Amino acid sequence: MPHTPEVDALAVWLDEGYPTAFRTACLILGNPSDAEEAVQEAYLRAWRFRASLSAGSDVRRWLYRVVVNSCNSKLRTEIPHRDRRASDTELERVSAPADGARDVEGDYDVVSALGDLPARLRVVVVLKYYADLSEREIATAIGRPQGTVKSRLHEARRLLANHPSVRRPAAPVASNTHSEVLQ
Amino acid sequence: MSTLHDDTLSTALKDAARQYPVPPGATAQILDAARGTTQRHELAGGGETSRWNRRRLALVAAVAIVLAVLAGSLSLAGLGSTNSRNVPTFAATLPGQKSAGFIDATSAGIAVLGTKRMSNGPSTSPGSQSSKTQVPMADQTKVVSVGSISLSVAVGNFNRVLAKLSALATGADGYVSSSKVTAGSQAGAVSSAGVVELRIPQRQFGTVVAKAEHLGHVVSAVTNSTDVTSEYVDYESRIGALDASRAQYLAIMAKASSIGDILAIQAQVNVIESEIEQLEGQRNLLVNQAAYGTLTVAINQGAAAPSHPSGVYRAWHQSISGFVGGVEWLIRAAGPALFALLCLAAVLLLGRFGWRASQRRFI
Repeated sequence: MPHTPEVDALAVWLDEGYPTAFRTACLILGNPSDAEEAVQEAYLRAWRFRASLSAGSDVRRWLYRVVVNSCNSKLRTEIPHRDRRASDTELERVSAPADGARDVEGDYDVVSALGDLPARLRVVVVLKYYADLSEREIATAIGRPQGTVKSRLHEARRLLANHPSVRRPAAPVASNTHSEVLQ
Repeated sequence: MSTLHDDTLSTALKDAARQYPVPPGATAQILDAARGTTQRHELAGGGETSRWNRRRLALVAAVAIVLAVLAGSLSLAGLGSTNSRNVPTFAATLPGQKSAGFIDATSAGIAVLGTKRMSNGPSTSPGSQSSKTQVPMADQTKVVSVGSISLSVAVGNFNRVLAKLSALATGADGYVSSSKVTAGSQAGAVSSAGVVELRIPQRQFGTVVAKAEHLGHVVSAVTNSTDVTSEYVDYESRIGALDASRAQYLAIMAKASSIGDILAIQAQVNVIESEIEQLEGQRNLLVNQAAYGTLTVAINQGAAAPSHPSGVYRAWHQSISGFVGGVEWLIRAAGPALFALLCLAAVLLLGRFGWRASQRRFI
């Protein structure tokens, strides 16, 4: 393959952000295959339209926006028309790993609850608590006002806390993380 | 209401995310695809950026076209309204005529052609060689004037108004061409009505119309003038050409030796003379119509008709007319304004849709 300086810039983007973007997409879509496609499509699209990124803009935020849009596109167009059994199996596999989140959280299967959230809420939760974006950055990423982000986060936290998969532990646990589940 | 702690949620999500292994070779696939796209676009001589720019240009062009159509339609609407307003103004500027208060050209069924003063010389057609067509065109201007007035007169004034109308016509060297009267009682219990048609010399037409309008309460008044100069010149030309043809046939007939030739030429001359007579008849009718304007006055005598409207009555009437005029203006302006608003809304919706689509798809 010929050496292209612009493709080198894309390589830098990938090195810096691909793992996070891929896992963000996994949490949003609940399916690694879809996530891989979405992220690949998002990076290629972002690279094609890199000229629309004004000088001095935050590339990371912009890339997140492209990834979120790509995920939303899949959620709107492809996934609803697909045989749900495959994704359910996939979700079950992901939400019940042998040494994964359930082991860490004990009785708090947050990932399963996350899968039951509406997509608009799931996106803001993932961007906030996994990607560590600020509310302002999330607002930019989803193209909505900051107030909308706040209200969606609040609603998402309330739904998660009331979800059957997220229960108050029967007995106190040693880990500080486990004891801070509910307030 | 319980909510989850931020730290708990963050830790849980990060732990869950770690369970998703990053697919090996995914970044290499993206880079390969990007390189392939680059080569294809370099070969094609353009990239997505230029396509995006072209789309933006297309969007801007579409908006510009919509705005141009909007401006064009508005200007056309403006021209249309100007023309309709010009009709009474034009009629009022004709020589010897006065525009009445209620002008309605369409109700009269007469097309106002205008008084085009021809500045060119005589026509160059064969018939123009005659001495009649060599008269300066300004002197040949023929205008046919037609007017219609509807008067409402007070009880007991019907016969007096009829007499005054007749006196007006004769005083202006005109005449009453027809009169149709349905007489009621003099006391006004039964209304009287009549239609009088006056033929007024062209120069006196405007004066007589103005005087007739003062004989009662004007319900409606329409005056129209049609320039028939071109028709008159056309008749003259055709008659001149036929005269010349007839003279040539007569000259040929004088030299004819056989009876058969003479008869054939005589038949042709007869046809030409018949055509000349027809054209002369039409020309004379036109001359008569142009010489005398036709004023039709409809008179109605009703109990409610005010004989001499007071100043307060006239002021009230003008006030009502002004109000109605204002409402009419509002209705006239509402159409173009609504159209402009609809176009603006369409442009805004299009722009918003395009902007959101670009934000969703290209950013």
